[in-house]
Amino acid sequence: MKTEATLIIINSSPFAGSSARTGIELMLTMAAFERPVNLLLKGEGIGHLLPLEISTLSLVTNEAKNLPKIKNHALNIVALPLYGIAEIYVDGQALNRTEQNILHLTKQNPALNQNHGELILTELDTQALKVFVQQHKEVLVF
Amino acid sequence: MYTFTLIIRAAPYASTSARTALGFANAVLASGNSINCLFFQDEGVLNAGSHSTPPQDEPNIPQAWATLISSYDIDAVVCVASALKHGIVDTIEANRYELKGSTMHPSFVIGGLGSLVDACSTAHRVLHFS
Repeated sequence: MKTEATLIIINSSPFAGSSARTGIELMLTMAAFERPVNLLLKGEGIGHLLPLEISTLSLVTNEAKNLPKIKNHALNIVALPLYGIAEIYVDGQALNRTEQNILHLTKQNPALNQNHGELILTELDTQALKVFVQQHKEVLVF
Repeated sequence: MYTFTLIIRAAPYASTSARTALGFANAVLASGNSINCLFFQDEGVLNAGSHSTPPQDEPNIPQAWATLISSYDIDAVVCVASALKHGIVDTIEANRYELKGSTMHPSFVIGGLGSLVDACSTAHRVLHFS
């Protein structure tokens, strides 16, 4: 049976254009209107879970200092609990790749437990991901 | 009979996506179904521009949207944040920001995400062209 919730899939990086931001803004608006909505981060969309320190640092490198500032859209993810969204779904394969990269970068623990404390991250493997998407009547990809 | 909401996030000439959306919208209406909202967002707001003047042997996609919207009296909403960012303004916004004049075709209206959420809640299908 299909769920009435809209599934928003974020497949693009928070630093590559406005696509991901648009998806998250739509999700927040739906939540504000009390429309059921689920969020799935996959592919480059996993970048929204980067430690905030890393995602912010990447925007203020020496090369970028003379360019107009980029807003860190990954910060929007942190606001989800304020809109009543306690749980988000993540592509397990992409998450593992990102976690390895973060470990390589920081030599510390993965940041997922550091910066997204109130959010429950549900990891889906390839098969579960397929089933999860099929459960939704309405799927919008950003 | 089905009701559709279309979200158009593609610029008119950057890819074939906006043209595909236009073709789909025409097909929906020609087959007796309805569209409760065309929502233009991000670069898609450029489809609402009134100053597009392509070469004679190329299609005028913004004009084709305007004709479709007028013919079927469809709600065509342009996301306000995206519109302002891309220089698409109606007379009201032009006055508000002290700009020289409207750059948006009068068939479209400026609105917010609430309009989209409202349309989605009554549509049978929501399609997204990016």
